[in-house]
Amino acid sequence: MKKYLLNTSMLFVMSTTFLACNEEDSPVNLSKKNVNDIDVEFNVPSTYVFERDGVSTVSFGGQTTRLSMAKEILGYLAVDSGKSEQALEAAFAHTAGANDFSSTELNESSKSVKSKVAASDDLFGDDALAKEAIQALMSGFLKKQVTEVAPNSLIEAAPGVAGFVGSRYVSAKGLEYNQAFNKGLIGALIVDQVLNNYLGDNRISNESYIADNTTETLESGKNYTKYEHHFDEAYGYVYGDATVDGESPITTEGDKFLFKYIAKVNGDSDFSGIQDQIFKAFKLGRSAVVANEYDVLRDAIEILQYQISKVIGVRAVHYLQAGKEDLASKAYASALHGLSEGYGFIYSLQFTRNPKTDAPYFTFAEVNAMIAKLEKGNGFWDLADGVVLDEISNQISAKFDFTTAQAAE
Amino acid sequence: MIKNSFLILLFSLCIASCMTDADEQCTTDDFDRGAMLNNWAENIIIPAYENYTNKLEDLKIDLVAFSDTPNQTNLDKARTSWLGAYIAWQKVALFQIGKAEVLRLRDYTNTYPLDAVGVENNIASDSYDLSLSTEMDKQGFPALDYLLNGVKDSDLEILNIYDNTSYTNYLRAVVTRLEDMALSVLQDWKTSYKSIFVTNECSSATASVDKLTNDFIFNFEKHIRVAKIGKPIGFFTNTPVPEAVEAFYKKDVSKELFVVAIQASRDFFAGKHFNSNTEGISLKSYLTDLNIQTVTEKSLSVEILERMDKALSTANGLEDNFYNQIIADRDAFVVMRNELHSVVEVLKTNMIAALKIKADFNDTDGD
Repeated sequence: MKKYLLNTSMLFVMSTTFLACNEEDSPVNLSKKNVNDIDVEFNVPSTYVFERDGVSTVSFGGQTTRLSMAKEILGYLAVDSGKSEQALEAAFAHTAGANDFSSTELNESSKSVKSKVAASDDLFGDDALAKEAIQALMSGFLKKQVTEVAPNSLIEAAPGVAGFVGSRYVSAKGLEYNQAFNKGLIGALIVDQVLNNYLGDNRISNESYIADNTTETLESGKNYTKYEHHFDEAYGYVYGDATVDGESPITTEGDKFLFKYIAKVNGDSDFSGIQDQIFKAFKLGRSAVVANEYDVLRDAIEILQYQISKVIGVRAVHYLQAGKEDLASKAYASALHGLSEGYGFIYSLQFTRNPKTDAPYFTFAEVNAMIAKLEKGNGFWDLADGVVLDEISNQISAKFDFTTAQAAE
Repeated sequence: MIKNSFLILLFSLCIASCMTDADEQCTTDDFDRGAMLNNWAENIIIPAYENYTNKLEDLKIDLVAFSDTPNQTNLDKARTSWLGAYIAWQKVALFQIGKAEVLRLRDYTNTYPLDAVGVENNIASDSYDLSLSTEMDKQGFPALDYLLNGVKDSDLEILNIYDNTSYTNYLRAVVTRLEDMALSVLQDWKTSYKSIFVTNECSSATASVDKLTNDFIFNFEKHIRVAKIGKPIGFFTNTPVPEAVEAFYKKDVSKELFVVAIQASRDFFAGKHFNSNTEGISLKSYLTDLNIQTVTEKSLSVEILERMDKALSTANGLEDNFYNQIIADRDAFVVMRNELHSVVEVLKTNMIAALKIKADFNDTDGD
């Protein structure tokens, strides 16, 4: 018996030792996919309204400013905007006081779009070179619109020749740089800031932020804790467009970035409800921050990781498939436009976040390999047989829980 | 019994594997950090401090001669040795570790802009304690710059002012303090600190590699990028403060000091021995040994050297007199600042992540 006891205690010590050894390799938690899967024992408001002593604690003015700047830059990308390469770059990398935009408020702002491109703590905190490479690529789209496309605006585009196709203006490879910039920014700015910065581990797991939130230690001169504010900054990148109702964002109205495409995906019956899920997950997460229910917060964030990443994946496949159909029927203006949007969404895949791995669904290298296939030879003009478009579509949908056919609709 | 032995074996295996993990926390990789520390101490840091103390010795001799006999010849000699020592300082400024850290050597040696009014008040009162932290901006090389080049408009007037012993006393007090601090740091390296430094080879916040690498980056960011360029050009405020340049009173040596400072950082990164072209074990060879590559599959150490060389080449293209050029052509310095920043960014993120060095600085939240 004594011997038996000894063995048991040894086994116990051993197993705890093994546990200690293996702590880092513990299996990842199963991710939640639907807000209804989460048990909630605190109040969640019907709108994104949070107050302390009757005063709002929600603030995302910086996000609204950046979205306004980004939208204005999209306008500058029109071939007849008359903006120079330098003016475009200056607006992208705005500095306080520079006369880059139409409103005084934006000109006076110290914020810039470029500084937040590929700038999340989780993905780029250790890699300034990757950040620089991605920022340079986005700057390159702006530059090439002015130097390659605008001078050819009266020439009809053809394989190897930049110019117009219907109402669209494309590069020699058939790429609309304004679409590459716009849709690339959805990932590089918005998804990256939301999932990998403000809702990323560096912020959400920061013990001092959590402690201050628990004790309701407010930021100096503000009505919110840092933790609350970070969550609102994530929310603001999605719903902060100046034309969107920030408390009850239903219609996308003037938004040009993620919110617009959440609604588009929601319009496909295979994905109906996704818009509601994302908004509810934001409300739930923010309520959990207030209630100090940090496990619920993590569950809500997992839903956001899952659903927002899915929006990017669906739109990438959707546009590749639409482009394939249009190419087959020689509807070139529509085909090149769609493929350009798809190109931007593919680029955005490297900023998504898989809740099961806490890593992007596709790496920088994987995304660039897909882009290289699209750009080979005369680029989009060479994809008419649909082989490459199907191959990439399937490569993307295989990583998610939807099929290429579902996304194509 | 067999079963028991088996269990014990398993148990010890597990303990052993846990202990290996603990070991790995010390070394993290196969690179010989101790050998790198030895190269840094023996071939770079100690020779740099020896050179610095020698130059301070020359400066002290010349300043004493000048204060005994304030004539043009002695003033010229003192100015020359002031510049020589100031250049030598740039080569140790990045090594603020050990005694230098305890003494706050950098703060007492090269805080600028100078509080010139405070200096005049000290001189007028004949009563001052330069070891007080409130006196940091009233001493060191900037104070000597003022006393030798800026205290009056013409050399004749400068010579005349040294008939007043309050001025000569201040000159001596400043150079004596500079030399005492430097000798104390050098002695500490030569007697006890070198072995403490070299044997503290593990990986932790207080280990030598982590600490000095952080200091090196901090120096490059705050004392090269910000102090020498960013602040005088008002990079963030868009309002230049040209009086904040290094060596404001002499003016035409700001570039020389700046270039030497970047070169010293480059040499340290590459492990180049002091006053020799031999390169020893260094951060560069550490990155190369681990075969660290950039996102575009380029060697990270090559990338860093290219950026440093670009910054050096741009720096060499600036005018000697930063004060004048900032007023005339601020844009040239914005380019310079951004090139320095591109070095800092890679050192602070890619390099320290690759070498598993924990940053001891906190960047402010941008929004």
